[in-house]
Amino acid sequence: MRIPFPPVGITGFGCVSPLGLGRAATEQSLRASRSGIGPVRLFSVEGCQSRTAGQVEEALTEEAVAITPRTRRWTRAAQMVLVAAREALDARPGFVPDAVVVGTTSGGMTLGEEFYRAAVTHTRLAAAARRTFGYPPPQPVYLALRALGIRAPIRIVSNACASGTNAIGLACQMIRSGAARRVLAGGYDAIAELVFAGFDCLRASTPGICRPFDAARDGLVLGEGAALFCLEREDAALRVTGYGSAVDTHHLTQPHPSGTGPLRAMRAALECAGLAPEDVDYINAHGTGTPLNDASEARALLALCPRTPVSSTKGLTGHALGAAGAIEAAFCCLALNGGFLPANVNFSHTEDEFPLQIVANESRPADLRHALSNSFGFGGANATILLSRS
Amino acid sequence: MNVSLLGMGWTTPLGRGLDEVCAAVEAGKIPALHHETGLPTGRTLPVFRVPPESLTDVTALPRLRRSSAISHFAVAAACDAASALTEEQRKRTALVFVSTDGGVIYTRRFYSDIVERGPGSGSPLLFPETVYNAPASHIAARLGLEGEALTLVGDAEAGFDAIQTACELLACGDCDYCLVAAAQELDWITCEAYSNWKIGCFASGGATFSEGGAALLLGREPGCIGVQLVPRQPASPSLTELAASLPSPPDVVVSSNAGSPAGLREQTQLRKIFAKGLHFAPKLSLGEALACSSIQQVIFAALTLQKSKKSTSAAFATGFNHNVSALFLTRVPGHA
Repeated sequence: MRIPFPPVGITGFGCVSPLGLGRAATEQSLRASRSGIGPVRLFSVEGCQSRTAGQVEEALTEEAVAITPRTRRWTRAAQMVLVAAREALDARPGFVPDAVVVGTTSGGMTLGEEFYRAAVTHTRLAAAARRTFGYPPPQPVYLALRALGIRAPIRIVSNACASGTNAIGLACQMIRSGAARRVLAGGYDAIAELVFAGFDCLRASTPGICRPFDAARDGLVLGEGAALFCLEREDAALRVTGYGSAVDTHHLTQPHPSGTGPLRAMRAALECAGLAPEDVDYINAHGTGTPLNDASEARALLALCPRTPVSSTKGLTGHALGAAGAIEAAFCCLALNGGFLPANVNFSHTEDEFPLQIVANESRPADLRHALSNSFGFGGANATILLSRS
Repeated sequence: MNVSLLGMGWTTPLGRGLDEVCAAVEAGKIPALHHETGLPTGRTLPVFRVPPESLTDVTALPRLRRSSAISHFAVAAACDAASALTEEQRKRTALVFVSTDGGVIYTRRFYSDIVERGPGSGSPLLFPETVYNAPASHIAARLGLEGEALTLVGDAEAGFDAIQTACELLACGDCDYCLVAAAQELDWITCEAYSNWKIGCFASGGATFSEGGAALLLGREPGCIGVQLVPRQPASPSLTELAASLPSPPDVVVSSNAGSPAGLREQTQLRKIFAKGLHFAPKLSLGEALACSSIQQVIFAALTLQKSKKSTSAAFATGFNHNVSALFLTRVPGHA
């Protein structure tokens, strides 16, 4: 027998993204449709067709160091988790999670890169080997939690670019099944050279600008960040009210053109909440800006909610991969709370076959109760969460 | 909620047959050692490899021709574990895949190209297979799964987290069955790193790194083995606290000792705590394959229960941060 999906209260959240450090800065940028995308400053991109990314501002390190000085030598990934977790927990004093569920695709990848270079050049290998202890994906989370005095089992979800949404969904399943009462959940990913080169070699990255759902779209821009949520079985103004997940095995990197996977995930999320598609006031689309992804998602959106306002915020932030779902869930919370629709920037017009209700270029006021957030990834991972305001 | 173990499969350095590998482990058989010589430091590393002839049915599949070894191990084990499922049942089957290092061979090769030839020279054939959930995608495609397909990443303990996740999915009622699969592939870069962490050693003492796959089919319908999670109270219990949380002292105790100092400590402690139990450390024969090993331990524990006619067994795993987990298995009377 199916256990009903209980509304899971969001009693605190924290967010670090190219739009700012923390909820307030993020909301300001989101309302102003201010982009966080710029030239890559972290590593060489010589020979790559893409040269831009959404990067978290350099003040991140100082923000982390202000929490605890030992973070100066941490990876940026661990610093992002720390800053986002601290903000989430500050918003909900006394929150002690039974479990922590976090999505990521890259973990401490930069340390793996450092170790490889040390190994092949025989330079400072012992030091690099010691530092690789921060490479496994749970480690940045473990470090951050330890610095905040939290001891809870950590579960890492790595479902490619759907990881953040899957992690929030899985946390809700833990609460639903009775396995946990309070879960700290979200996602993180820091830009790494390997991943940047990976998307570039697939020609998935744009040499120009990211234009989700625009007819002239030609690829994504990578991003980074972290967002974490205090989730609990408690009445709260903001709630997760639905979660759906489906696998599409059409191809390892390409979605089925029909949008069948996204459609199944969105339908499942609505079923959890007992809501009809017309009840949804806003959809934060996955919308990477690649021709194939956006076309597949557009078909699913048109099949389910053809009249609902839609935007992809990746034109502002870039695609934060395993963190994207969590960051965009945070954007939905800000939109639900603040009464506005975030913009889909760099949009001129879409193909005739995709008459979506795009929130074009500027955010606008709106009274929102229910927002869907989509995340899809390699391997045919499709995940959707439904967020609601009481 | 009662969860039963309905199917099992593994790909190990000792082969793929459940009973044959189990008997070999019980007899203390050690697979042939392969000596990896490609390490930039010039060291030679003895490892256990899965015999390629045990995977020919999988490596010939068109979708897997270009995939990395981890996907071959995972798909082979998953297909064996799910062999009894009908097409209709597969539609109601969720998947939880777990790995420690993912597709590390292609990841290292891809990065090597970038370092040697520049950031714009990565191979589009390699990159998609470096993603942690690539093996899960291949399993889902092979078995025709459509629902929840999650990939978890973590140390040896994460294998038990995957089982717990499966139990939660079954408890919610969104699926009737859940396939838990795990796999590990070997590359010099991870072996080099783990050796530096003192998890394994090169010549004397320490664990022997290995590759392989393992899968369990879990369901709510009655089966011959009942699966019970051991609650972690407090959040990070000691081995003694965890052992005290078991429903009863197990007849069979499966340690995660693979030969490292930490593993030896774990097994010694378990022998003291459960002095009357039958003790095994299958990783001494199958090698250290981290998250994959913990699923292999569960399979070994289940097979030993079936064969020995004992009533209960418990498998233990110790993670990188000295965190410990356990799983309790019960033989259900009246089932073959």
